Parts: sequence; structure tokens; C-alpha cells
Amino acid sequence: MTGFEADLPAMGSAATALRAAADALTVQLAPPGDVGPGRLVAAVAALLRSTEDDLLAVRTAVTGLSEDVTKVRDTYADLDTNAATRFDLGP
Amino acid sequence: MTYRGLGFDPTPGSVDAVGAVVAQLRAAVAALSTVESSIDAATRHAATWQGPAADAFRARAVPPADPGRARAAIPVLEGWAETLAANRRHTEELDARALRLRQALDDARDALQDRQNERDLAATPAATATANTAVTVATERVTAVAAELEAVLSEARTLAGEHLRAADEAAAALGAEPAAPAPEVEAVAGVLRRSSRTAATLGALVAPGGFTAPAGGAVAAVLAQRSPVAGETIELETPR
Repeated sequence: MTGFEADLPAMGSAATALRAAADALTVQLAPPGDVGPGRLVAAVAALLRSTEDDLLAVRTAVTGLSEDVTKVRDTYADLDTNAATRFDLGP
Repeated sequence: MTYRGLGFDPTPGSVDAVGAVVAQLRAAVAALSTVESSIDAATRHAATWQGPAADAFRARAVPPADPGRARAAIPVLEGWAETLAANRRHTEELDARALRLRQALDDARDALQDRQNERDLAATPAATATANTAVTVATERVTAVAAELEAVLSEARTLAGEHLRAADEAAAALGAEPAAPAPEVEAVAGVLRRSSRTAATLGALVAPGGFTAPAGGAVAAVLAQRSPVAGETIELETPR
């Protein structure tokens, strides 16, 4: 398509929804206690670390997406403001 | 936790600790699962946003991969928690029996000592004969109670082995790599495999004659590799 249509409030809502989703991914995972003998403690610790890594990766991605939407929205707003300023300057 | 009757904990682990891990995994899986609907909601909010930047945003706004490993771990840990709880109940029963038997053994030994004292003090042949009979009965009682106690301890050791195997299976289901033997264990095992005389000498060094004793040092390490149970006893006999 050519051109674009920027619904700034809608973009703001999208960014807010994404930020909330990122916040919801803040789950504290504590190291395992005495879960059992042998290799079990190490296996559970590795599982929790892996899950924590997954959470962090997704949280980072969603936070980045939210921030990018906000930046793009601000860029559209600045673009429009700059364009308006140009008209204000007159011929 | 050490059980006074058994002298060791055959079923280490805390059901509460396993429950805490399951709760954490549930929270993580729920968070990772709901992020998909949140991303969908965000893209719906921005439906009126059109153009190349909007297309690039939608291309990036894809749900994360399903948290399959964490999700699959939950039933494994729940199953382990059930096994752990059952094994700990069994341990408590065994410990209660062992405590009673230890008390009974002390009583039987005291009684035997009393009978032996009575025999020592017997003044007549008839009294000596009666005391001898009483000593024999008291000795048999000590032997019988000791055997009962040993049977309970043996059951606890068997339970410990089963418990460890169940924990190992759970660890494997969670993705743990098979445990490699420790180098010192391999070294000792190699020596024992090469020479039965060496093995016999090792036993004779610990103590001469047939006996039952807690394994220690390198021997304990080898036993731990075979069936790593704290407090396990080994039987050694003097070579003929």
C-alpha cells in the first residue's frame, strides 16, 4: 500500500497493553529447596533457570515491542507537529 | 532429617519444597500462556494503524513459543510429590517400629544382664540350672529383638533405594543427564574388579572376621554408586 494511517490513541492503547503483558511476565522463581535426593535438585534448578530464561526473553521482547510502538507513535506525532510548523512559517 | 529409630533418613526431600516448585512453574506457564492473548489484544487495539510501520509491528507481534518444558515438568513433579509423601509416611512407620524395637532391645539386654547376674550369684546347683535356663531365654529374646530391628532397618534401606530410584527417574524425566561415576569411585571399583584378594584385604583391613558395620570412606563411595543410601551397612567375611 502507499501512505499510512496513524491512529495515535490506538497505538498508545496497544503500547499500554504490551507493557501490561510484559509486567505480567515478572514471575519470581526461587531456587529449589530440598526437593529430593540424587540428581533431582540439580534437575529442578536447571528447569527453573531455563523457565526464568524463557520468561526474561519473552519479557524483553514484549517490552521492546511496547517501547517501539510508543516511539513510532511519538515519531508520527512529531512529524505532524513539524508539518504543521512548516505551514505556520508561511510562504 | 534424621530419624532416631532408623539412624538415618531413607527418604530425603520435602513435599512442601516440591509444591513450591510446582506453584512457581504454574505461575510461569500461566504468564507465558496469557502473553499470547495480550499480544492479540494489542494488535486489535492498533487495527486502525495502517502502513509499512504498522505491517512491521504486526510481523513482530507474534506469540512466544509454548512453554512446553515447564508445562511438562508439572505432572512429573506432582507425581514425585505423591511418591515422596508416601515414602515419608512409610519412613515414619518404620522409624516408630525401630524406636520401639530399640527400646525393647535395651530392655532385653538389661534383662539378660540381670539373669546373668542371678546366675553368677546362684548358690546351689539347682539355682544355677534355673538361672542358666533364664539366661538362655533372655539371650534368645535379645537375638529375636535384634533380628526384628535388623529387619526393619533392612526394609528402610530397601525403601531408600526405591526412593532414590524414583527421584532419579523424575530427574531424568525433567531432562537431567545420566550421572557419570565419580573418578575415585571408578578407581576403587576398578581395583575391586581386578582382584578379589584385594577386595578381601580391604575388608580385612576394616575389621577381621564376619561382621556388620557401616560402610565408610572409599567403600562407602562404591556402595553409594551402587545404591547410595546413607548409613547402609555392608557384610564382609574373612576369606577362607
